[in-house]
Amino acid sequence: MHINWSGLGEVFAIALAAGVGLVVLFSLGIAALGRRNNEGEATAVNTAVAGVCFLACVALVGYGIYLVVAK
Amino acid sequence: MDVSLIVIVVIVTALAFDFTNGFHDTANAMATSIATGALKPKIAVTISAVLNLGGAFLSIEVAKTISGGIVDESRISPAVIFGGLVGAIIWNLATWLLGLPSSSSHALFGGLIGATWVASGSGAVHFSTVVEKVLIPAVASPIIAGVVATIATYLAYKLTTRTNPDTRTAGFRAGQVVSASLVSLAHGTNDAQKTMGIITLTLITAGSLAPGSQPPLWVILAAGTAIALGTYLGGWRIIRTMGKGITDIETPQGFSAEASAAAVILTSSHVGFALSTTHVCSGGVIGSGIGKRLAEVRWGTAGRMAIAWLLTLPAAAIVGALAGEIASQGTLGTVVVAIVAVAIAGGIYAASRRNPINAENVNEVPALATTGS
Repeated sequence: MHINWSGLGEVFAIALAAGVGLVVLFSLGIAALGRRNNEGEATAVNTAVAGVCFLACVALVGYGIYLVVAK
Repeated sequence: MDVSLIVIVVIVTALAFDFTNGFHDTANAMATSIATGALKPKIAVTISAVLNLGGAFLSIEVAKTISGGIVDESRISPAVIFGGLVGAIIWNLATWLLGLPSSSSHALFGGLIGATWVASGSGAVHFSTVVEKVLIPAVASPIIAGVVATIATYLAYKLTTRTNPDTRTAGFRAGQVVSASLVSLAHGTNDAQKTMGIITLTLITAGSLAPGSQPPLWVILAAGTAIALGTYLGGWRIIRTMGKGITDIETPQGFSAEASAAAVILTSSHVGFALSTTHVCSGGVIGSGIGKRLAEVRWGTAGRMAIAWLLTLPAAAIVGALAGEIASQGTLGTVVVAIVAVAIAGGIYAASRRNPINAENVNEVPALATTGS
């Protein structure tokens, strides 16, 4: 019986990085958005952080769509 | 172009299978978005249907085999393919009636294995390939997706603990629209291909197309339309199980489950290690329940799903073997199988009407999950 352990491991490692990475980036973006309403926090900085996070998410999703289409 | 009856029957049956594939698997992409209210039920299935249709045209790679090497394709006749498709359709309808998400690919493989075994003997079934391409992915998919979704969900809550709950819910709700669409698109590029491959190869064996032909445009259109129509109809029974039956889903969980599922599906198809979309998405939902502290995972429902997964291959194989054997007897046999299959499908539909689940009541918690388990 042949089990493709390296393929399985590869899927697990990449999916873990991409899936968790996407959720972490998005969560950080939402956290930054939420902080804009707090008093005493720099609104511009938080807006910028949120923007960078969401842009990174878009890039990651775009790469995913590219993989689907280019396959 | 001379097309025999059996070829026409196979094409129609393949499109019928594609249709059941569509409504069976809508839940994979859209169940969590519907459960959290990120998308209205009707809008969710519409998006999913459009992306499934689009996915059918997007993917360039043509499914070159019917079975992916699971059975010896030089020993398959159109009657065997017909038998396999009937087995897959009936199993898909039966699990839909029970609201259980099971893999449409496994149902198709099971049907083909059963029909081939009876027609050409066990030697025509490549059992080591069955283990490699069906059994191991069936175990690995939900575990991988479950672990990724558990970690992702935990972090999604951890990173936003001090965020205003309204901001958090609204933010992840917006994210869910994108993540659900991504799963739909990945699904469309994979599943419509299967039916296209079956129809194209049947036309080739019948001599209507030259060997090595690409699917004609009408095949792509027909397959894409069948899966899109099925998706639009919505497999509400399965959507309810996935969205409400396994765990109570909030938007951060829904986003994490979908993002994890999309990551796992895209990675696996890119690496070339085929995983089952259904098993990945179910694993993602379970993981999103584990990852949220104090969230209840209804293991009774998860267990019933696991049993359905175990039964999918043998159950579809038995129906496929019977149907293939009778259909092999000639035109009369084919007609008999077709009539019986339509009758069974009608019976299952009639049974579903006694307890209808639709876009209006899809988000009510199923009675089984609250009283059972």
